[in-house]
Amino acid sequence: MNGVSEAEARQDTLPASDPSMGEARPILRIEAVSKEFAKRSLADRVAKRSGVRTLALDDVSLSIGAKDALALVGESGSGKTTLARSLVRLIDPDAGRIEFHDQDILESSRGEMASIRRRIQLVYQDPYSSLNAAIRIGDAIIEPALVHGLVDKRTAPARLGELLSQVGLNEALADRYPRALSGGQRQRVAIARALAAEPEILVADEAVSALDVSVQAQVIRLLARLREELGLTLIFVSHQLATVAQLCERVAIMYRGQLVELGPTAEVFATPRHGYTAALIEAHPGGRRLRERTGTAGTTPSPAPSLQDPGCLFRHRCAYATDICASETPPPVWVTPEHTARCHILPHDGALATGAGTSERDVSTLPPRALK
Amino acid sequence: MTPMDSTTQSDDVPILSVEGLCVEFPGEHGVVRAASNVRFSVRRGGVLGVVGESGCGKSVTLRALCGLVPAPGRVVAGSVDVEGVRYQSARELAGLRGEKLSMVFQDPASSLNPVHAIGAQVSEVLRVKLGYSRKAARAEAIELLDRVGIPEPARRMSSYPHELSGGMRQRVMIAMAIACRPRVLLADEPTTALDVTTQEQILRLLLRLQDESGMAIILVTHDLGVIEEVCDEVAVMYAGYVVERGSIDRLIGSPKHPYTRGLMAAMPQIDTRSLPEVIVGQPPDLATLPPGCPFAPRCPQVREECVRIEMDELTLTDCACPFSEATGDVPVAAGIAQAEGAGA
Amino acid sequence: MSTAAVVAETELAAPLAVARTVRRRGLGIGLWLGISIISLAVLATIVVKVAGIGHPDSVNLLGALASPSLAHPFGTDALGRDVFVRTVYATGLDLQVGFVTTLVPLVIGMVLGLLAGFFGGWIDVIVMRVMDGLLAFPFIVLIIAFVTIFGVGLTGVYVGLTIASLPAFARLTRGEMLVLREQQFMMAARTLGYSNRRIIFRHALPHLIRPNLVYAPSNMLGNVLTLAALSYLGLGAQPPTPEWGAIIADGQSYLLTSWWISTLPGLFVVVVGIGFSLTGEGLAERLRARTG
Repeated sequence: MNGVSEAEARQDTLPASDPSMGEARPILRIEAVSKEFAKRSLADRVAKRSGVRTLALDDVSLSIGAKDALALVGESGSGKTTLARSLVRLIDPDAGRIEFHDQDILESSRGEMASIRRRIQLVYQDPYSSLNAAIRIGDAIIEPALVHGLVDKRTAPARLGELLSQVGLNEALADRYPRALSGGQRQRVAIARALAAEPEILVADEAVSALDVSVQAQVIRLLARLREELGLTLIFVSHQLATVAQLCERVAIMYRGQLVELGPTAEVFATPRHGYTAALIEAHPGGRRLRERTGTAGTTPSPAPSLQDPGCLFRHRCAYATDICASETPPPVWVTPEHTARCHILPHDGALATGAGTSERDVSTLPPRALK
Repeated sequence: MTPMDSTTQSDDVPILSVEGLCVEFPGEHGVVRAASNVRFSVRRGGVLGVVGESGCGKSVTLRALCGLVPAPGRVVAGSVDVEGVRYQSARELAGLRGEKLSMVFQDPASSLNPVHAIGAQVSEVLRVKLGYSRKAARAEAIELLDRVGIPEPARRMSSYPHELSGGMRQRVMIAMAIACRPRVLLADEPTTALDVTTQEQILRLLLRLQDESGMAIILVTHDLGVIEEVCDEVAVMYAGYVVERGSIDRLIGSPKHPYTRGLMAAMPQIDTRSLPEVIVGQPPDLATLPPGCPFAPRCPQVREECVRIEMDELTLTDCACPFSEATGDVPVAAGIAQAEGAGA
Repeated sequence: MSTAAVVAETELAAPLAVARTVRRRGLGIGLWLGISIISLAVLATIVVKVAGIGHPDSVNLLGALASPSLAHPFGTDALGRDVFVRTVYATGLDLQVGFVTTLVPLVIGMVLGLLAGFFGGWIDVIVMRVMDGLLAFPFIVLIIAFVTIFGVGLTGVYVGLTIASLPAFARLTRGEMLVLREQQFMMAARTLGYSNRRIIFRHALPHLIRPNLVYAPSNMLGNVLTLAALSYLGLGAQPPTPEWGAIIADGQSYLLTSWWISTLPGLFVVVVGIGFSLTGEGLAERLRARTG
């Protein structure tokens, strides 16, 4: 491998801004962000090789406006969690910019980060390890407010009461330890704790994935209500398509580190413009009997070595791939001013109704490849 | 008791049926019933789904079927009929394991032994249970890996679990499970830990294997969508009881029990614009169940009589709610104030 | 190790196993039993010393090698000294040494390990290489080195045992911290904008104390046994100062005849050792229940 990472080599082929938002000024702008992880064995180090390099994020660009709700959807290895963590600098990308209110947070100093940290908050996936078992619920929730000087010792109890009722938790729970609470209750605590910092953006990193269905419904509704009441901007990271459908107006689909489709949720689900999106919708369980459907071949791989790989990363599994998919990297194609996909085929063909919104799926116009 | 052989079995006679299964665990303040009076059956070539949320007893029930209830829990009542032969003790059931009954677990990462190659693990089943020779076991193992869709099976025999993806590992587990041509395959959340696209493949694989061998499948999951896709019959469990059972079409089309209805309304859908409906409260603590119906504290149609109903009798019927017929089309989420289901 | 130490150690093994089963049955009495034993030992020491019931050094050659009786519960040794009184007097010394040489390295080692694990980088490298260096020395050799520096007597023993005990606590804490760092609540503390100081002391420390507390009694016992070995070699407590190991060592030539001189104090040591073990584990259970 030569000195220039492939991410840098591709940088000039994409527009830096994300027109899918229309005219509204974005508060968060992710531009050409890339992140590579290298795994070097002892042999690699000795031979001064670079080892297995995986491109967790490949040139991702995205904009989010105030009070937006954007879903980040992908399976394992998609890079969605890496991206979410980059927003709060738990992970430092190798290339690109992340601008929050026009300030690049990747270039910010520690002091500046402190104030930025408060305004972008993360709610984590595992309710059982995202709360410190040694700290009482009430203390944990109000701590961010105290640390950032939003309340003082006098005003803290009132604010705590406010936060607890906002997330629908009984005040009596404030003195308990996390082990006394159920998974759903713990997630509410995690949300309350994030809200205590009075953030502008709330990033929910698979925040409902570990919950029972009935509890999931509660937390989804809670997030929707909080977004309205507090004017929050919501970034909802999930691998479950259905949970995002009602919560978020825009959806970004990621596959192996790349942003493959972006657009209004209803439109993307009704007429997906990328083979992977179509596969995800197709694979989503429920509604149609499995025996009567065709499926998607291949596995969602763990991030593969990042060799120079021209062509579409999904082509080996795509029902619609043709020759051009192997030879040229698909450029982003704007189907409407708000809806884009990195695909050679689907954006140019007619509408592909998938069954979301219709009960039958009509694929007679497109020849699917023979799949297992 | 002579077991009925396969030639006399029609498709309607259940190949496995469970009656009155009760599993108890000792708790801090007395005994906790993880499964109460569980009753269901599956016919030859059928797929039964057992669905419910945390603590409903679905996993414990499955494990009880092959004598795998973890200590200090134990089966205190009930029987399992497999191919007409009745088994009652955990030890008898354990004998069936690997032969007539086989189990596939949720997490392929921890179910496969990380220090042995997958070929060795599959061969082991064949040698131990069926007495194959080393060579014969190896040949059969390659064939099994091929049947479950692992590409280049001969080469893969020497791979270790960590070299395979989650979906591949699950396929290996399935290969081990079908090695002895079981009559019934028990699957405990086999796809929960997998990506959606992989999940689809694994479910498809299970159905194909079933078509080829005629084995029945009992699939335990919390995902109603998976049940919808794959199962013929469904049993819905709550707090250790089977609160509703029936064919998939009947359940999806006209669910009777308020919990089933609540569960279906709470399921997020791709193609609706409204947020999922909520069941208030949280899944029950088995140690502190209220008298009567365990769902009463959360039920939008609860009434006074609910604390007096006899669950043990009602769970023998198709729907454990005696008032379900009368309520008709009452909406599941009662009231906007409750719509978010504030916990605690 | 000296015969005394070997005897004491093997006598400890079985009873410790018993203690473990008691704990596993969840009786919760482990902690109280442990504390009771230690309190009794300390109480006996204080009472005997204050009430002046007998003197550890009073020689009585006529009554030498007397078997246990009401007047002399542990019998007398070759010089006619009351073995029980000597044992009780020794308790004070041994406990003090054990305690100090465990508490001090616990605190210092925990802080070092915590910083090394949390910050990584050069702090980690320096701290760990120093610890590795200390571990590279055979334990006894290290102690003897310090005793040589400070001269014969207990000062060298104190310093040596303290320093030799550091690496265990440091490595233990560092390991726990490395695991802790990856927990989601630690990541949350960072994204919530907490300072490193707050994260380390308010969020991490409560979890790090437990493994140290579990290990502390073993460390204490080990140090006491080492002290016994040193006394036997003439490097620790000097005669006639009563010290457990010395008392047991004194009796080894009489094991077949006047068995009580070594055995009864040995049993005493075992019981007190169990007391510490139960206390340590009981505390750990308590903390585990609290921190979930």
